[in-house]
Amino acid sequence: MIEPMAKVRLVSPRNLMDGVTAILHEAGILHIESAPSEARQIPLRPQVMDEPARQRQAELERFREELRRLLLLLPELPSRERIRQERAGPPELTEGAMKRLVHLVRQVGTRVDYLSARLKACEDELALLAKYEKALEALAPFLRLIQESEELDHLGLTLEVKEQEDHLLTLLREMMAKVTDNRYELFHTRLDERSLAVLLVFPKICSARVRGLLWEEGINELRLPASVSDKPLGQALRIILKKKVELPLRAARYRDELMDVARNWRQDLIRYQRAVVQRLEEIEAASLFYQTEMASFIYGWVPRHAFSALSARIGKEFGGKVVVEACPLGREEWGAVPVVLQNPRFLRPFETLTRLIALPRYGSIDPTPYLAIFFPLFYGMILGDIGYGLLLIIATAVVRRRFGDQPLVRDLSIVFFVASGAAVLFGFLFGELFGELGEHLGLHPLLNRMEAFIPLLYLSVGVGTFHVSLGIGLGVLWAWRQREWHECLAKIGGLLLVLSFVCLIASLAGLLPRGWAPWGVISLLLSFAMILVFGGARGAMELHNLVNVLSYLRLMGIGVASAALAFAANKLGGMVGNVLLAIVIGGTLHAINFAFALLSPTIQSLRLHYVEFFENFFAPGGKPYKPFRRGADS
Amino acid sequence: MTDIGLIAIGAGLAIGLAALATALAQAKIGAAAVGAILEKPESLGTVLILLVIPETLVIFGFTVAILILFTLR
Repeated sequence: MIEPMAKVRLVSPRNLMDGVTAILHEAGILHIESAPSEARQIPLRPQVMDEPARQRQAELERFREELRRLLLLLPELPSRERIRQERAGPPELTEGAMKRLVHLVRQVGTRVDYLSARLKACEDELALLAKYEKALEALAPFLRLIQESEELDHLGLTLEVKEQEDHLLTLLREMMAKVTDNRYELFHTRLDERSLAVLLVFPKICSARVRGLLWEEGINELRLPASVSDKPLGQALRIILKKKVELPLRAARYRDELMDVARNWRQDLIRYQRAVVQRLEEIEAASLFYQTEMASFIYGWVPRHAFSALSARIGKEFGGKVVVEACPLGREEWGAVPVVLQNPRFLRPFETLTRLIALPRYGSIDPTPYLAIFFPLFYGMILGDIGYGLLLIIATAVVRRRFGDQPLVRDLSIVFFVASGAAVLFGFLFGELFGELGEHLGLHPLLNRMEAFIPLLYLSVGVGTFHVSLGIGLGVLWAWRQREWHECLAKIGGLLLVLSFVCLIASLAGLLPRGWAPWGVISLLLSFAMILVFGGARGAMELHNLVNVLSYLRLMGIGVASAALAFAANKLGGMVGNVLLAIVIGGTLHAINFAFALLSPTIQSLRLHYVEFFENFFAPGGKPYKPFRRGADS
Repeated sequence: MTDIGLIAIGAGLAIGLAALATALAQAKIGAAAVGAILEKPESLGTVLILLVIPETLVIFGFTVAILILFTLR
């Protein structure tokens, strides 16, 4: 059901507004109305912040960003330490607390910035060195062979091997011989399938010519990191290898120091962050308040059952200085009232299915209880197999165990537990366990889906008639609540139309006594008259309900298709002589059918609700209830 | 051709043509639905309804096929 709401007006002297706001924030039940109708009638103006308040807001926003930044830089504490430290609540933001916050942010910020910058430098350099690692490690053995000399120059290359390796090296050798008059050494090794690492050693006097030629040929020299680019290749390599050992140790030390800072200060920073965010929420909410010269006004909505508690609390805190009153709520205001769905605990998971389409408008009918009854019923009718039902229960239990911390998964798992339970029950009715295997195990179908097509057809139309009629009945109730008398009577005409049409067809088909047929015709004509007189052209939509009833034939159609697939799986499995192969073929086809069974009955059952059932009474467009409470945004 | 053969062809056409019509409609709706969900993920519920609306056609085709098979045979 939809929770009844009270429209609330709080009137307070302007100097008490901060206290009132804090109480409302803590209570966390008032949905603040930003554009109340009274504000247009009484000359109220929106509350405007004065300059000191604006400066205070700007200062708090700066702190919020700074605290967020520091908390991002600081590492998370291990969960055991976190739980131990999380007990204290956010501090009151008094002048003293603000001074402590400034000091804390400055002191911790400086240290965290220093350590983070150092850590980042280490990590960046390590990442850079990793790029050279492969080539330098490949060249290291050759460099150790070469005696360092003032007369010699070294040059490292990485070459992409597009053609034959020998051909490329021959070309390079020919080139070097020409440039250096055969005074060079070339060492090479494979880096991977597509590249070669090459070390060239040659007299220093040839350096310019060698480098110029390589550049002309488009061969790139191995560029060293900037920190060692001025060093000879051998020396650079030794420095890099030394750094590779040192840098991870240095990074670990900075991480340890950051963890120490986090142990000492992280929880304090979080507490201050909460306090700052809460204060900012209060300041931002105040922009939705109204004022006159002397008084401030807050309009909003609270659940009706919570109104007296809120009123008593405000009265206790402020005596008679702050007035809380419930304003009369007219039907014309229903569109503005926020909606809270309030169903018994066992129905609450099914609210997810309602919300999937939309929240119902305030004052209209919450379809959740009907979804809780008919969704599992339709699901069970379509799937109707003990084996698939049990498999689905197991699959749901596994998903719930793995992802049960997410509320959506928790709710949907309950929905599917109930739905798959219904599938098991219908499985007994249809005598199906992985298709007709149930019959071999002694199950006796009361209604065999592979044979009793016509009775199933009657059953589907009967269920459809009941469900659509219930929907129209709820539509009558909704029209009654809205005092829409013409629509109410047109809907009654629509209900009569569906019932009399189905009775007429049933009596003509011999399912009901033949003598009912003339009464059916009279009732049908009467319903047409009611629809046309009270509904006019819009009333023609009521005729659509006849098509809606026939749409429930899908309960039979999809169900029979599912049973036929299971039948085919067993038949094909049974056609091969080999037992193992039969299990593989049958199992695969059953797995495919099970995958369909997860999807198709869900979609079809939802569709029967959203399209055929909701059409007659559901009023979407409810405004979600968003109470002003601590941490609502986070 | 025997009467049974004609009945079977009639039943096959009833469901086959209905399925084809459903497929054509769902193909177009499905393409638009994917775009709509990408733009506005909260429209999933509405899109789901639009997507499965044409399936009524194939259900009717199936029912007609069954009626042909069981009443004319």
